[in-house]
Amino acid sequence: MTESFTDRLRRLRREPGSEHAESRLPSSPSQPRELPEWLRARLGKHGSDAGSTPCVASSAGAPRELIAFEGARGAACARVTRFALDHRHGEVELRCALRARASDLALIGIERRLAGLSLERALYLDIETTGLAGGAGTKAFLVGIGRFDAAGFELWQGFLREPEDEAALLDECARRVAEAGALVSFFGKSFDRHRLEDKMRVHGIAPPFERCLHLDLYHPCRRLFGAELSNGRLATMERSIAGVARAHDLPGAFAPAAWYDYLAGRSHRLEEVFEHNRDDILSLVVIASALADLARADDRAAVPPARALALARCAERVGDWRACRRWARWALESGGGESAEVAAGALALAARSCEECGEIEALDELCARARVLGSSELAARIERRKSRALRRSRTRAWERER
Amino acid sequence: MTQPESSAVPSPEEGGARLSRSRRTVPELEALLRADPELAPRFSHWQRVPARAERSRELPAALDPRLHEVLAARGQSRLYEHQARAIELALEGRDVLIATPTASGKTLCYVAPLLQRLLESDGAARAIALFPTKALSQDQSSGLNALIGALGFDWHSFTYDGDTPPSVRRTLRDDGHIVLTNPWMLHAGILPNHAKWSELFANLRTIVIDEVHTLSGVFGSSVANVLRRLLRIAAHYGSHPRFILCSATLRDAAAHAKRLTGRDVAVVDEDGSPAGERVFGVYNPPLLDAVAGLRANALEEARRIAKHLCGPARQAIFFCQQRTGVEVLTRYLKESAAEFGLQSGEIRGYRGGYLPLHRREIEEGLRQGSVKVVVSTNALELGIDIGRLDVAVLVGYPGSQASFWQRAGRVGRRGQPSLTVLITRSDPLDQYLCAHPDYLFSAPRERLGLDPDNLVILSEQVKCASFELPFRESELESGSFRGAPHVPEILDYLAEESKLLLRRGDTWHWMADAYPAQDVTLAGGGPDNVLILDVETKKAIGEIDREGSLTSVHEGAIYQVQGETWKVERFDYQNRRAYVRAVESDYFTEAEVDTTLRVLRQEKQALRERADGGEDYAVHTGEVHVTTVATQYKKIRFYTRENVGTEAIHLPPEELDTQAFVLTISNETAQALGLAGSERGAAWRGAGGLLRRVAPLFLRCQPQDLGLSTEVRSTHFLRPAIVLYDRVQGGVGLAEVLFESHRDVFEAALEVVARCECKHGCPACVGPRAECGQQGKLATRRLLEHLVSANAARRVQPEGVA
Repeated sequence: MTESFTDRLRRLRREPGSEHAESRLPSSPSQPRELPEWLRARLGKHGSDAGSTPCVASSAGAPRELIAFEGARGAACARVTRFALDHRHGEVELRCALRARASDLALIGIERRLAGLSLERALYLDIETTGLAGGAGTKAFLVGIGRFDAAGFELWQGFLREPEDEAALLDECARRVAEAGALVSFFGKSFDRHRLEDKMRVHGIAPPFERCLHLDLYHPCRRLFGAELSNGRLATMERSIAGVARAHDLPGAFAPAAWYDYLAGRSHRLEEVFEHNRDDILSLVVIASALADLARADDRAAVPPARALALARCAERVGDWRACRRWARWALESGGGESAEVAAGALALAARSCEECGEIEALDELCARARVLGSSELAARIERRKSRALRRSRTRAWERER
Repeated sequence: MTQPESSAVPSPEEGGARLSRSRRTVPELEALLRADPELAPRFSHWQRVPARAERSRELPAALDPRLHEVLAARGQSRLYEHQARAIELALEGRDVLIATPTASGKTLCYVAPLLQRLLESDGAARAIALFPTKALSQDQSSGLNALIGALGFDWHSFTYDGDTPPSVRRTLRDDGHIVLTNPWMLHAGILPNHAKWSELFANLRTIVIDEVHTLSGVFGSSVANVLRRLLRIAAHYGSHPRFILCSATLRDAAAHAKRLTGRDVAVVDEDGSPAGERVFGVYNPPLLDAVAGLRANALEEARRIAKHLCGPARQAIFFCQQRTGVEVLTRYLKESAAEFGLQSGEIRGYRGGYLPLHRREIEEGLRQGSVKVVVSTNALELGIDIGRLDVAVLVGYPGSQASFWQRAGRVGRRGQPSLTVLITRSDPLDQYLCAHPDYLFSAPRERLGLDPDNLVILSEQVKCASFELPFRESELESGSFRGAPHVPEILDYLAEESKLLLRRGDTWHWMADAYPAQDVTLAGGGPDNVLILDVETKKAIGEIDREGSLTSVHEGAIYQVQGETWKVERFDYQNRRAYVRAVESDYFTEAEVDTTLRVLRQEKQALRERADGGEDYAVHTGEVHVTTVATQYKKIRFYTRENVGTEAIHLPPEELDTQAFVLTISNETAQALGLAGSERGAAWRGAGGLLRRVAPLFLRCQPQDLGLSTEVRSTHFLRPAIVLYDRVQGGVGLAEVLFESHRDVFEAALEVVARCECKHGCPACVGPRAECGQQGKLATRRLLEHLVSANAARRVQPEGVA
């Protein structure tokens, strides 16, 4: 009765099924028959349990329509899907992105550099990973990259058919990102970028992100819609901003299990993960164009005062004083009276932008409005702005004379 | 000869005492103690260690001229012999261990090579330095940065630990040249995120580990595996760093370093730093009750001795075993401040749990000389820089020779004599040392138990490693885990049983949404530990390991913390929580356990034969399964020890699989020794308990790290057996060391029992009569005398195992 190594290790690790775990049952009636929670947590039971996702549309074998590609770091594969420019995602056609102005993106992204980004040439990036825990053991097994080309919109979904394909897949991603030099993502500055960057470093691939323009839509969405929406998730944002409603979306939490099931040769739900990733990327396109549109909206009625104020704040942060003045005035005029807080914020920004633009006369009117609002302190601040602006314009005039 | 006058101006109200005390030199202090009619007879031993001359030489020629210049500017144009040797070896590319006492200048031994690597590589080389405490790494960082500053480069060393704000971590990762951290941070923060540190790993030239004598047991065995992981990641990024290890004086230093790092390490252990004459006194408090073996309280005695030793012209340090001891003694000494000619503020307590700023202030006060007396736990035992003091008093033997010397090493200024007093307690270990002070002054006798291949620890660490990088079969031949047993089987197990890995050809890939390092502790216990929660405040007041929980936090138990009593209301065994309520209890509880032990496998064996050829006694190592059931507990009144009631305990048994050391006596020998009937059981219990308590003389552990089971007739060996087992699941090498040193342990135990002045057993030898019976002491002595008489046992092949 020599004990096998597996049994010995199981016994030493106090894992279930070991000889003693069973033998102690009769001796103690209070012994729980189920493994205690702390022990289960310690053993880290995964795999087979997690694999039993609710199976709606499962399939076995490799995902369909994969095309192999070969790069400097070996071969990997991807699925390529094409969309026409008039493809509608939610209520928005993809082509809308093509009319976005870079300056508007810089404004909503509050980063002047983004004025160099074009939605037509940028990559739309979203990845699916084996978990959110981070660290070296987490893999990006599906990297979705969308981009416009002469014929429409191309979605490239690089897929890890085998763990060993990782270097080749990442190398191709790095190449694509470096070539485009511009990225659009949702929460990618905090998540996707770092997952890829970490993995690239492990494989000795130079990460391209440092030199890349990156518009992360998460923060503008929060800034402009945060007050109106219950949470900051992509699904919430895409529904409100672009009218996207997903019918059978696989929750992201099932993604790791789908890939593990596939690798283990079990039936899996990878197809749904591909679809989920596709929808995420199309949402990036339509949200980006919707936000850019918003930055040059001309129908005041469609812009609630709080959002107008948020836009004014963006403009303030990038130092676009004309836009700032415009949005602050909108916030004031389209109902600033409803919320004293919004009105006060809008007044202060309007005053600052008027000072910056040298419109001294307008400050009198803003000052009067502040008094009407009952804020003598704000009124006094506007007064000070005015005298400062006056001094400055006199100095300038004097310098010109000299 | 006179010491410099204290800079503090004596104030009128304390005038006389302060002035008269300010002139006493260390030899005069010794004379005072030896002349005190009350104290002098209690000093059982005086030892003089003559002054040691400095052995130094020029800076090694291999050292960069720029370093020569900077060191010379700091007055270090010559180095101690051991420093020079260590630096030369490190520069030659050897792995080095410097094993010399505290304050012998070990820091420079690794700082110089680190800086040289930076100079050689134009700032590209990187280093990781591991310290056992945060305070130590912060201490080192400022020193390093000062040197780098003197070199004139824009290089950085920084501490990376739990206190590092997340906002600066990124900058540190990208710009740091020398990362000072601790094993926990390396294990759970740095290694699992190695990509973020790729710059560090790609250029890693040196790994420094300070205080490696603290790396034993579960912690040391885990750290050895963390180092395997570290080397594995470094190799992935193409670097092959060298080790520079620092430690207190160690027995088998090279062997310890090899187990820890897997490398053959060059050992430098000849201290070249100068030392003044050192005087040691061993003070045995008076026996209050000879029958019970009870001696006067060591803290009280420390206070008596202090009146001769504390004063304005010298600095004294008192080491206590426990935090409460520090508080009590500090209060005592402050009360006597005027008598010492000191102000109360010149006497300070120091321990973990004080705020860092507060601690820094005391350390600074010690360096500057404004703090005259400090009372500390082991918190000041490790290498925090407080300068050298004049007098050390150790209230109780710290449990290991290494700790004794670390503490004693706090005193002894350059060229000046120093004094160290050890106050012994009524504990077998302390009493042994009283009778055998030569043990303290001989070469190190303790071995460190370290077993990186403990299957539980190894499998957990292999799990962490496979998260960090896919595990390839080729690594088993050449990687840092080569030589570790069963790694492929462990990997298969993690794949097939735990479903954490996926095997593809010759590679195991991590295949789970989890971050394993988070759940793997370095110090053992971890998730199995029981958290003790106050039901009123909902706060945790303590933690206890799995094995101890059975007897300490069962329902109805009185749990004691620093003299306060708590009653356990509920023990949620399944979720590892015990709920307690503060009570004023006039009794404490003692649980009785029933331990059954099954021998699963016999490994090593040594035996001695009797003259007639039959077996006399034998010692063994092997794997055992221990089942412990708590049966009932007694409520015992404080002071009177009156039993006021017994209640049953209802808990499932605890199971432990571990390594054990076994002593068996043949039935014939037992008979010949006249150990029969009840006397036999008493002798086994007495001897077993005593062996367990003196074992720390020869192996680095606490008595509670060893479990004990004595059987008058073992079902496995069919004869009397004493089993001492490692109380860590899987074992961490203690049984092995016991087997190697068993003869020493027997001798020490005999020494204790033979010299003890009690009649029938006391806490200082075999335990009180109530526990080991009327004949317990005598029987134990007879047994031990027999074991150490004549030859030692010789190694044999174990018989076939069932």
